[in-house]
Amino acid sequence: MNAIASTTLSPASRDLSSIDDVIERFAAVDYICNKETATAVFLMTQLQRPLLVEGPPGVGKTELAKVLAQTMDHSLIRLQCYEGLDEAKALYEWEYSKQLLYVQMLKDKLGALLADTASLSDAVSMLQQHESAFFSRHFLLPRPLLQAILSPQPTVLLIDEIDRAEQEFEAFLLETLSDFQVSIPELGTLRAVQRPLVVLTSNATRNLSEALKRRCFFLYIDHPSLDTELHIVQRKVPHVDQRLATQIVQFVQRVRQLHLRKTPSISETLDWALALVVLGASVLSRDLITETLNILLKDKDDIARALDEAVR
Amino acid sequence: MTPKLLTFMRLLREHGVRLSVAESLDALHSVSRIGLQDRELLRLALRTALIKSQADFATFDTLFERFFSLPRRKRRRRVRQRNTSHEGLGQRANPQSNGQPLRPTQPQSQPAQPPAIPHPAPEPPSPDAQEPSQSQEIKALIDLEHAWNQQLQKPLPSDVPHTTQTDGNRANTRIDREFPPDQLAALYREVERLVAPLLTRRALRYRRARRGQFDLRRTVLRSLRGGSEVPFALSYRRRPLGKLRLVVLCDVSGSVWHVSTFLLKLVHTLQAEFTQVRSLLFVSSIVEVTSLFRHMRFPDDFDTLRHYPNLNLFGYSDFGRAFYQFYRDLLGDLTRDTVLVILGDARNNAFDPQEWTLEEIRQRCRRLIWLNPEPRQEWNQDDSVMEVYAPFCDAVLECWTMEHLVQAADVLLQV
Repeated sequence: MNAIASTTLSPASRDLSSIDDVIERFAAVDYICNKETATAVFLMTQLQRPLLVEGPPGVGKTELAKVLAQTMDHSLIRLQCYEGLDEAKALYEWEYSKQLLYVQMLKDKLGALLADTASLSDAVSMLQQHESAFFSRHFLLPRPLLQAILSPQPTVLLIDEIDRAEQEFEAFLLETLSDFQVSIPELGTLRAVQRPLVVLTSNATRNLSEALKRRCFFLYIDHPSLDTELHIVQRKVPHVDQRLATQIVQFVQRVRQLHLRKTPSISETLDWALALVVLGASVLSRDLITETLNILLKDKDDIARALDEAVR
Repeated sequence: MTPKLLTFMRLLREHGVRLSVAESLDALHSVSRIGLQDRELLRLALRTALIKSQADFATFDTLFERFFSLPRRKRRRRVRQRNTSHEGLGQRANPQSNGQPLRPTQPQSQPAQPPAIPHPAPEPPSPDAQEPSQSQEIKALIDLEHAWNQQLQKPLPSDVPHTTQTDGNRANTRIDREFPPDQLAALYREVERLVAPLLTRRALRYRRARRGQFDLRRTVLRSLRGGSEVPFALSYRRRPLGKLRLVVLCDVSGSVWHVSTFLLKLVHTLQAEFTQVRSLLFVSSIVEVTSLFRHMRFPDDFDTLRHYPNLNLFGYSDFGRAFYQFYRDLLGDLTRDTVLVILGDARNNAFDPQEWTLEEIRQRCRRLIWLNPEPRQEWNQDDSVMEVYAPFCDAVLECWTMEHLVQAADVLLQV
């Protein structure tokens, strides 16, 4: 619901010039991505298509949008989806109470205006002339989608967890995403000044509609490979010992192979690594795992199974 | 390159990947930005633009491998031909011409390619002889396409044309028998199509319930209490509708297998309507397969179920034992919001039905629905013990045609 403006300045050229450029510039802000991700990002910026990112929780889907905004020096507008999200929360709303408040405050003024009118119908037609005063941009409360459309600066619009919203919302989104214009009956059609770059994320808890998928490029981000994850740990946890980092990542990778209720995500790996560094560990021993595994896994049965695995 | 890409897309369509024209265009644009120098990048670019579901990745990758690693000789010849003829026409579809400095380290691949094999087609076209060169190129392309098609069609399992739309009325189709794979895929799509109106109706109900009805009385009262004549805040009368949890318990012994697959497909289609869906299969003991459905592709992956560990498809179905196991292990997972669906013919092979377990189960869940894949007149014949279990069920429905399946969906979606 809230707009987060990232104001970090990036290097001189904003546009991403090639796939390698994407990888390098993302790495510069500590986001390690593989060629698949880079290709998808490059193509979406080149062809101005929305990008649908799917994958398990905690693999950096949302982060991708943030990093994209940061590298391209766009502001980020975020729309968090949830069950029951509708147009009023996503697009715009009239500020009803503000309108009423103004009516109250302008009571005298209105009285003076209507003093000369003879009949009731005259008064109504008089009021109608001034109707636009109450349905103007002053009383319009732009929600994320409209914010992105109206923004004079280039933006990245992040539509987070689209699979949580209902199917009708998807249909509504289609309309907006295809032409980036919104018709408000009282104001007319508002067109996008700058076509925002749109990133949609989904945890694939349900199938999205074919129509929406058709309009987007698609990227599936899986849990990272051993090398990539090691790279990430070294980047994000600067003081980690090389050997410890390797052991941590190897263990996490093994744990992911087990059928757990909740597979550990990258951020949990990082938390765990950070905790171990703080504890001053240099080697991942069995005792240490037993004591700290609750940082990595958040379910009693999962922890038990992972411990079994650690013994092996 | 365009014709080849189009052929590739056609191939994808033939393998059940849904592609629209817009997506094909996107793919062509993407390739023009990426260039053709790097095979891996070509693969990723095409996949980004064309494939919109992780389940289709494997199909895509296999086809890409097969398609883009065809005989070297032919490919090279074609590149050469295109190259010359395009220069003759003066309208190269060059990625660099878009102002995108792509991989400056790599030179244009075409000039570097040695004219290794003198191609049998007549002389390279001269700039002023455009017409013949073009028709030659087209002819060569057609030849190549034939060659590809022959190559590609050899290993394809089924080239039967899809008969999706032709036979319109599928509602009466019996689903308790075996179908060839392509027909099965069409039937599964039909399930989705038939259920769609139910979902729309339900969505509308939820929407209305969420918004609630405007309540004038409460609005006015509230504003008066606040001392203002003008109501600043509107009040609504809401009756929240929660989503339910669904547990499906399917008999998959030989006689019921086919209907079970359809029920699982149905549940897969409905899954967004429930907060949680669990799928359990049994012959004589229960196996949970919920995790399998995460990346399931219908109908290709159904056969993986047949080889699932601990699931002895050739055993005798034993409802009593399965229900007892459910009672022992899973009773705690049932809540007041759980709908339990049991699919089975209740043919218990003269084992003890243990109906008391079902009674216990019934008391722990919101509703218990039994679907029987046999026509009603066959119930309670021979070893069928339907009447023993029926008293504990909220609904016992027949389920052996598509129409029955949709009726079952309707019952399931009731709150």
